[in-house]
Amino acid sequence: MAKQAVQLSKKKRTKYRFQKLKMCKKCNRYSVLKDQNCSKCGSAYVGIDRLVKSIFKNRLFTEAMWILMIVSIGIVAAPTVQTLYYSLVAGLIFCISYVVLTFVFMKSEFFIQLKRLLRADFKKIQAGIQFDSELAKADVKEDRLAPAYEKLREIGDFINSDQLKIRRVMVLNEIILRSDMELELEPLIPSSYDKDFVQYALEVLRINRTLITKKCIAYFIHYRDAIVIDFGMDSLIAVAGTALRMKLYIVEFSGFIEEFLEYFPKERVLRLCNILYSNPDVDWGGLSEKAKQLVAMKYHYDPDFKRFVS
Amino acid sequence: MSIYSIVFTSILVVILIWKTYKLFKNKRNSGDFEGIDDELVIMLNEGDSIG
Ligand SMILES: [Zn+2]
Repeated sequence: MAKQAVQLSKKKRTKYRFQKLKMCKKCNRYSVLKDQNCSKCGSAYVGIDRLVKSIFKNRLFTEAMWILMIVSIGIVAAPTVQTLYYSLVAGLIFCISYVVLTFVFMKSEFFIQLKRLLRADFKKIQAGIQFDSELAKADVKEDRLAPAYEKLREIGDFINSDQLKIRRVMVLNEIILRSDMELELEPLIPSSYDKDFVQYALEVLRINRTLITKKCIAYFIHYRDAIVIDFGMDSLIAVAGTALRMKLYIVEFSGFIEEFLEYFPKERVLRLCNILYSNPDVDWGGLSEKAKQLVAMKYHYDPDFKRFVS
Repeated sequence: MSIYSIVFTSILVVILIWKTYKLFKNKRNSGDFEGIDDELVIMLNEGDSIG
């Protein structure tokens, strides 16, 4: 099947993940998607911050009512005029102290309220995300890949199951990937071998090598046998090539790089030699020796390698 | 000072002390927002029912 050319919107960023939670008060349903309005009833979502604030306000209002009632009873029930004045003053001081206390502890009270709400509504939140996930499924079925992926990406901030990762990867594999897309790789690494993921990773490697991180290279090494069967040796050579990006990676994966050294193009070998040459005190394992042999064999007469040939 | 005033004042003071105690307890139990984030994600992934 031909891949779709789509435009992916930028991911919505919030300082904390829970800030993405919102609720449709009409359906009493949570969502983590970017939509401003409920997909079921169309009414506007209320963000979790506002939700907590309104609960908090309601609580303060109830408390204020109680306090006013107690103070009023105290004043009204005063047996003499003198006690009435006394109750009035005492009630006033009490109310002021109460308000000051509330303001001083506002932040931690808000925090506790948020925590309580998340704990109490946890099942509801889970059900809401499940509903979001169903919406994404429907999008995939109707071939609306961009909205499907955007939904799965938001859900992925909360759910890190392999199943969801693979669903995201499978949608991405149907899309023509471009370097201007905000692609992710490391958060999509599943806990076991998955052909779709490797296919996606190799595509990403072609577009943006910087996304191939330590964890990703480690994944390729761990499942190398299966990867060679499914994608051929070239895929491993390409991944080993990306490890040459950083000195840190070269040290970490020196054995892996060593295996494929002879298959690298000249500029990669040159880059590697440069790094090895300028860091003689680092323990490169057998890599240093192997590189020397390769240069002696293959690039002996190459002027670019002149300074590495002793 | 009459008995009435003493009782009324005591009630108000007890309420204030109770309120302060609760506020302090909440402040002690409140962590940071990162903690809330982590707890939420752990809770949501526990059953692993969503995919
Ligand atoms: Zn709704």
